[in-house]
Amino acid sequence: MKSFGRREFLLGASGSMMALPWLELNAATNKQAAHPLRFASFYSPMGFVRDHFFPKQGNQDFLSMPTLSPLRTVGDKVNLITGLYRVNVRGTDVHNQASSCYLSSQDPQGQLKSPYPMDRTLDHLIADQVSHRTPIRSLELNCNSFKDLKESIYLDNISWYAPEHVATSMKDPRQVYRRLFKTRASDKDITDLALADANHFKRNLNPQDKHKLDEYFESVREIERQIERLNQYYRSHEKSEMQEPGEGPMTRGEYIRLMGKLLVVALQSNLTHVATFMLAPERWGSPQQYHELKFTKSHHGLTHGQSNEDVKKFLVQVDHFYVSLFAEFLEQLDAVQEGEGTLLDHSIVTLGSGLGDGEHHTMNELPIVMAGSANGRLKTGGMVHCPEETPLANLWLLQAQLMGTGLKRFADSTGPLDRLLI
Amino acid sequence: MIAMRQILWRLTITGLSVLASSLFLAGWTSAQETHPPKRGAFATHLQPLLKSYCYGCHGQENPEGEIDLRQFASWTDLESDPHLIEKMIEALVKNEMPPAGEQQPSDDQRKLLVLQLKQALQNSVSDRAVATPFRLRRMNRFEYGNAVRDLFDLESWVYSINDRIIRDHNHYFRPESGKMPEVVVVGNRIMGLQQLLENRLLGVMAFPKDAPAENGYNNRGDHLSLTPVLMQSFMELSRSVVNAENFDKNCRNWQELFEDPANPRAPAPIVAVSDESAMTGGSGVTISAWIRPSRTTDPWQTIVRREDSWRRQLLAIGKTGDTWGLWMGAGIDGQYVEFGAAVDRKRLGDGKWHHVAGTYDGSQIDLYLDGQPIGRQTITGELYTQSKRPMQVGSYGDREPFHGDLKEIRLYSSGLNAVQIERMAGGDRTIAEPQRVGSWDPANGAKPKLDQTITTIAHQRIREFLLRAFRAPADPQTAKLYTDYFDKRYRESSDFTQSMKEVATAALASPRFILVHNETRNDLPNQAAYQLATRLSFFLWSSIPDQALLELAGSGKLQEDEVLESEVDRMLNDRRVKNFCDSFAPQWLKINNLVSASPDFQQHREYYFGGDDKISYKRGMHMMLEPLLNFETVFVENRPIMELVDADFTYRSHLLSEWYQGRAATYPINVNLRHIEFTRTPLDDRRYGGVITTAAVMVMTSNPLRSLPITRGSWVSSVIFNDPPEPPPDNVPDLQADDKTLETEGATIREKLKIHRNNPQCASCHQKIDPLGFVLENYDLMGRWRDNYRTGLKVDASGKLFGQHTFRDVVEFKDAVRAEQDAFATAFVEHLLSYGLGRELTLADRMAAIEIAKASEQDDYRMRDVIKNIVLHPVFRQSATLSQGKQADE
Repeated sequence: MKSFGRREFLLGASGSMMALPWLELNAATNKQAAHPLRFASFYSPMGFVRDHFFPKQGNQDFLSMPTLSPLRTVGDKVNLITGLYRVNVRGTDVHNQASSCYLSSQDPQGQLKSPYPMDRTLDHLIADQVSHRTPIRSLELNCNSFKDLKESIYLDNISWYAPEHVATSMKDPRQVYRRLFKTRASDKDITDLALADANHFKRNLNPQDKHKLDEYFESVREIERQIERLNQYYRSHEKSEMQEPGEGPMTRGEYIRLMGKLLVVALQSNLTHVATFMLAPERWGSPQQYHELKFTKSHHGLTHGQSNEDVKKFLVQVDHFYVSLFAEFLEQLDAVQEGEGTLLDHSIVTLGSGLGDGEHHTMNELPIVMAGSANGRLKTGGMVHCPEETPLANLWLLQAQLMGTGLKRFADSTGPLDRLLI
Repeated sequence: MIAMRQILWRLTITGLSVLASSLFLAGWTSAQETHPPKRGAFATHLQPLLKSYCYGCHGQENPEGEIDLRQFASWTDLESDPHLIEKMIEALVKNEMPPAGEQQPSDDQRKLLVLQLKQALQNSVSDRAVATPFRLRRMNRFEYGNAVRDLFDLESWVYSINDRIIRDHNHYFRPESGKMPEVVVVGNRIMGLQQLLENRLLGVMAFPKDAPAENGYNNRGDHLSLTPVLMQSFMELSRSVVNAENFDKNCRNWQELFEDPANPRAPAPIVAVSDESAMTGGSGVTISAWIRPSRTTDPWQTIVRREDSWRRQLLAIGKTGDTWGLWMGAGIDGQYVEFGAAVDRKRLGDGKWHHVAGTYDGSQIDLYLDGQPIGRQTITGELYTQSKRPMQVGSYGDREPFHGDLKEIRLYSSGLNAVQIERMAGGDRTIAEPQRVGSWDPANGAKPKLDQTITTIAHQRIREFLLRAFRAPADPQTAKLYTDYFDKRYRESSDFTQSMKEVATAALASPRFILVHNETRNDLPNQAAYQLATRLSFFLWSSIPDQALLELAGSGKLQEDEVLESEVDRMLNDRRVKNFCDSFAPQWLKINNLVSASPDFQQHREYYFGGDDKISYKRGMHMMLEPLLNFETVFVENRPIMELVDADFTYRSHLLSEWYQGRAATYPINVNLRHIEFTRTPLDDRRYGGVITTAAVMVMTSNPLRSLPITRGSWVSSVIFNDPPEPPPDNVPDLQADDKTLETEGATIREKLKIHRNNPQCASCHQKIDPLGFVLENYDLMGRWRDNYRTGLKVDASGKLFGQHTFRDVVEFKDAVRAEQDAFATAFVEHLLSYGLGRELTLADRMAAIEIAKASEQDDYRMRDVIKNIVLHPVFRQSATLSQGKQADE
């Protein structure tokens, strides 16, 4: 997996796959019984208050837990998975790791190319495989509404092309809207010129810089590819009736809902099949205004005070708030009929956190909820108990396999988490 | 996590000091010339000491910190791990190891250990490259905005961004003056909708702000990636900038770049006086002209004008106030000064030619009509002579046009006297020829004839443009890409301006523009000089190099020590250096943490102006400006950097002064927070002065209910000593306590924290940071002095710096930092260097920082000397070694 280089991605992204026109390919997939599988991974920072999240008894209904109760509306399509963990590299900042390594879960024993055990993340490994089906390769959405941008890049990103190569996330709903719905004339004159210049430029660079310049080539080509495909797509598809978001102020909930809605439309219209979604950034010591909850508190601060009942009161409200918004997203997926089933049935949607317990920074017993049956291949509607210290990578491996990557191993996985399979 | 480890070369003992520093320098010179000083055998001189004092923890199964010193059996072994040696030295000189409570080596033993380890470190890095090569990186958002602005010489900003915290409302920032004014009128960018009011290109959207590196800066190459989402922004920017509806109006080099030479923009071209004064830099100026106005209007009529903000120079006729007459303007001592003398307008409008002149000689402005003095204004000061803008004749832009005829306009680099002017008015054209730096006559100023084809002109312009955009001349193949593109566009559209804009768009999308690079070009003899020019301008201006730098690079002169030094001076005197202050200082101070600091709204209402805790209306908005102004003062006035820690002055607003004295004046919610006067305030109370003890720092290192000594200690350790503590272990119990809770428990926070310091796992780190935080306990969570906690318990601020310098309170602490000023200086250089190099420092970089600090030691580490020494050091110049660098020059 580690050897999966950027070159391979380039090939998949721009060149060889075009031999079979992607729209036909798309149509071909549609004719088969199975609907294209969608992948979405949601991140909530700093864990959840455990005793409101995990049932004490193994056989207790997890939907009766205060934090998870909003999921009841789609309860039969959701699983709570227990016992997953990640290895924490000691001596480095735990919050940075929690978010930036969440979706790669790289084996910390391996060679680190960055301060944290980072690698190409699950969403991009999957997009490498499935992006030929859609005009947009993948979406990285982020509902970080802090203006002070005082924290590091690691806390604010779960999606990475490679170590130290972040997949820039979009925080502005208008930008997301335009990416999904705006067709534009190709800028081919300019990009051709820029690429010719870049090719010439590249010859004069040292190997390390050449490598860095690949980011430029990849980016420019990806933009061109996207313009071309989006234009092609809208020649045969109706545009969504969704209005372009305005500039007015939004509450915290409205903001996340709007971003969720955009994602639903993107997945529903097959504009993309792969997405990540950060509900909020990891750590970030700033106070957050929760309009719906009628208070302004630092989420991080709250997690460190949860042993105090007065503080915990607020924290469980935040947890509940985020799970509710996630549940709303699932409901919307489930409301979209696709053949016999719903869009949710044809998806793998995960909500999780890179920390098991925000107070003590532990990475065991990670809170992970998974929804959608992946075209009927997964059991849903219950709790799946894993032996303690089952690598999170096992779940990622299973998801990667379901999405068709053919991976045999993922980071420090010991095998796909197949107890989820029917 | 690779904390920027710092080595402290404690050079307090003269003998050792000389030895150590000469050892050190030896590393940069040729290795063969060096005779390694005598050093004991590993087995007899080092190992026994390690055995006695270190093996106890670092020589057993499961050694502390996973460091097992038993693995080193020889110098060669040890020298294979320079990072470890660096750590050992640091632990020893800061008295962190052996930990308190363990058996300690004698002072002599400690010195011996350190000296030998330094030699080992020296050996282990001597064969390594001195100057780690620069890596390709993209510009960050701040740099991109500045670069585009400079490239097109925009009057406006490209986009409004919040990187720039201080808004300057009275042109207080005048680095060339070497002095900060007594009163500065400033605003804080957070307040209100100021951003939207700024003059900026319309419809141009910035890409998202780049996140700072941990304990670092937001220009770090390894963090500045390119991705499709970002590239999309760059593509959109490259189009939207040149096509913004107000671009043409704001682009001050529009004519030389975009104007169709066959069809110049009406009205008749404003012809530039060929003016070399910018290069010659005289101390005075004389502007003289023959004029024959056809109308004598109230609105001003330009005779000649160089438009350049406060630096402008002009001669004009018209009315201001009650005076109709002749006017002269010039930039003097950082301000625009204008003076007019009354003239009978009938006389000027009589249809005859009249001679007018204005002079400034450093002490007075004189105005003359037909050779006779008509007015004088005394003003002593330094005339600004560095402007590169053209002198325009007969109007500037489309504004204030002259009605009538002009001829024989002359510009001199000194203020001529009355006799000379009289003779000039009498028709003598030979007056003061050596000082004549510019002239214009209608004959040679007529509309230029096209003796070249449009394509030739366009191609020439494109090559000049690419030189500035790409920071080096484009090779023929590259240039051809762009000139061909122009030809194609022009063929299709016959629209010169639009075709040039297409070319500009393409150039802005090129990696050569977006990326800060170190291209290796065999065809370019002075490529190293061009690269140096780029590094310099990104370091000091956060932008692309200007024409002067590029010219010096082109001739290779920039690499000469004296030239480089004087260029640094020039750059530090240029106002673009404000970008450095705007970018470096807030990041160094981590000042953005203050934005979100929120003292509890119920308990600390006095922190807020209004009826709610909206972030715009709190005292932090004033507080934030104080340390930034302190920084700028040390910078502009070239003061010793120690004054960043301990100074006898500060800048405070009225509100802040009251605040420090415990008075919280109330303000209505709609108080004008945009234009705040900050006054220079002398301090005789050493509890204040310097950045550490400002309310800004105290508030941002507190939580809503109490001060956070550990956070404060960590701030001091990171910012002042560039030694950010390792992240805490995963499982630290939180002290949920405000002053009140502590009261019920009858303990001070210090006593409470002691409990967790008794845990040996936490002790080694806390021994280091705790004293740095506790010393600030006399400042409450809102930065005001307290002798006692609210509980009545007395604040205990005593401690020891580096296990050596005992202090009882913050004033003695400042003495202790002064005693360790080399440690502070080295740390400060490391911060600057990390910013200047755009990377996390390597071992070689850190060793360079020590040398740079050492070189700046004489004359008390003055700010500009420190910066200059950074630029002159091989680590920045990218020459292999000092000696090689010199040889190359010879």
